[in-house]
Amino acid sequence: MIIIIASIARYFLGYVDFTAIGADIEKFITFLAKNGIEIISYTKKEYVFYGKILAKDYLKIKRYAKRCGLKLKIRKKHGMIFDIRKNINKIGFFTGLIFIILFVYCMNMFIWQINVTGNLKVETEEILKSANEMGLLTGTLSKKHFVQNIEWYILRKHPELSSVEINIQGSVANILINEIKKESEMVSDDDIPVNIVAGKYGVIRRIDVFDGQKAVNKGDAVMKGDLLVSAVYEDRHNKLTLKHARANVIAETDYNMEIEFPLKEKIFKKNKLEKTTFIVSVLGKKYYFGYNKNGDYLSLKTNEKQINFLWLKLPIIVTKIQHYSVKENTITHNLEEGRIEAFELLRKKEKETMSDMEIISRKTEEKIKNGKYIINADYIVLMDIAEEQPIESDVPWENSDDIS
Amino acid sequence: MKKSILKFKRNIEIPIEAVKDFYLEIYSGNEVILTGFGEIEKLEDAVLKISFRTKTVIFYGNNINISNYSSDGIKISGDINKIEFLKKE
Repeated sequence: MIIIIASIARYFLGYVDFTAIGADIEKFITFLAKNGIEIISYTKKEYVFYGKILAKDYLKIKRYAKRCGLKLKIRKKHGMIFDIRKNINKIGFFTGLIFIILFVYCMNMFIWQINVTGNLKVETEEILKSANEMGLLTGTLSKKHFVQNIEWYILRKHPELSSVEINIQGSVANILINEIKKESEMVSDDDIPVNIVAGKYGVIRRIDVFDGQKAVNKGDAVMKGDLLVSAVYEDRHNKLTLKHARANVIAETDYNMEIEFPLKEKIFKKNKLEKTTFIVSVLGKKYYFGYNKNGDYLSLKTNEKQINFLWLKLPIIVTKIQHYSVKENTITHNLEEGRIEAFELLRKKEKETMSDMEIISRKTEEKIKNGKYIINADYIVLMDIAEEQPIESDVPWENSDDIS
Repeated sequence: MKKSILKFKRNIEIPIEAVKDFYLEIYSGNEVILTGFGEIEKLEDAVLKISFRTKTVIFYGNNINISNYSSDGIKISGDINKIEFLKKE
């Protein structure tokens, strides 16, 4: 790495290959070293000395060579400065150089990249879409945009934003977003009077009433729809008021779940690469190469790449799409495997759907039907059976939130 | 003598060649680095003679070249077969 860097540095500074002919070569190179002049590499063949030296040092060594009685001769000049000098008179080189400078200058006048930062709730695409509507697009002149207008438009279009700042630096436009931080709102469900009824039959094992009048006791058996907590509340002065009843009613009840696991499974597997196609998007316009829109491709792998010119990102996106054929495999499980997999599925489903229940007992029935391993599970569980039921009444309605 | 020089060097933190004449490192017989300023007395394909303040060092071999030479040291490359040290009178 150091060697490469040194070579590049040497190319930029320029260096010369030279020969020194004479008898006192050793004295000459000692002089150079003593005076801090570095020769890059040496060889000596009889009375001829071959060396490389930086261009700026070559003039200095002439007097040392004269003092030692040596004859200096340049063999070859290397480096950028010599290349430019050599080619400056050639029209092609000169035109190419001017063209590159002009091209880079012109490219810097356009916006090639738009970055959006600071957004969490509002999607980047949405902000870019709003900016595009105001003319802020890749490939447009950077100086023609009136930034304040675009900022105002984006703010108006997205009320969730508190501020928008657009900075255009060279060919990059940065859109900095600040979103409004909403404080959590109090949600009140005390809008209507409700009774608590049983959502399922069972035997009450625990009842915690937070609001309303308790209608059942621990140990009572209830059917679906039975009143558990009444919204009609009678105080000690025998005054009746309506409330939004709230309670946890834990009852012992049954629960059923059925699991099916197919003993024959079809699996689709990616096979060999059939075709590679490309979509080239230039300034938002798409060009298809070898792409068949009606093709029946089951498995695709896409790779998107933005084209760069030196450090600039060009508005050209090349999407490489690889189309694979798909192979269908059938896996057959034996009964033991099917049983294990079905019980695993049952365990997962129990975790998902019965997390708020307490299982007292479980009884399972296993059968095989239509090529499926079926488990039917009956549970005895403790679960909350309270269900709200709105009521309509002319009795005065008391919203407990208003009182508080 | 050697111990006292090293102790002196450690205490004042100066390069060893300031106290001693030169410092020699050999890398696999193809490359030698000599730290300290020496004058080249003879440069040939098979012989390189470098003169230091107290000693002269002679390298024998084939295709002996100087890769780098400055007032700080000298880097020698080539197929080195023999190194000789001669004390100056």
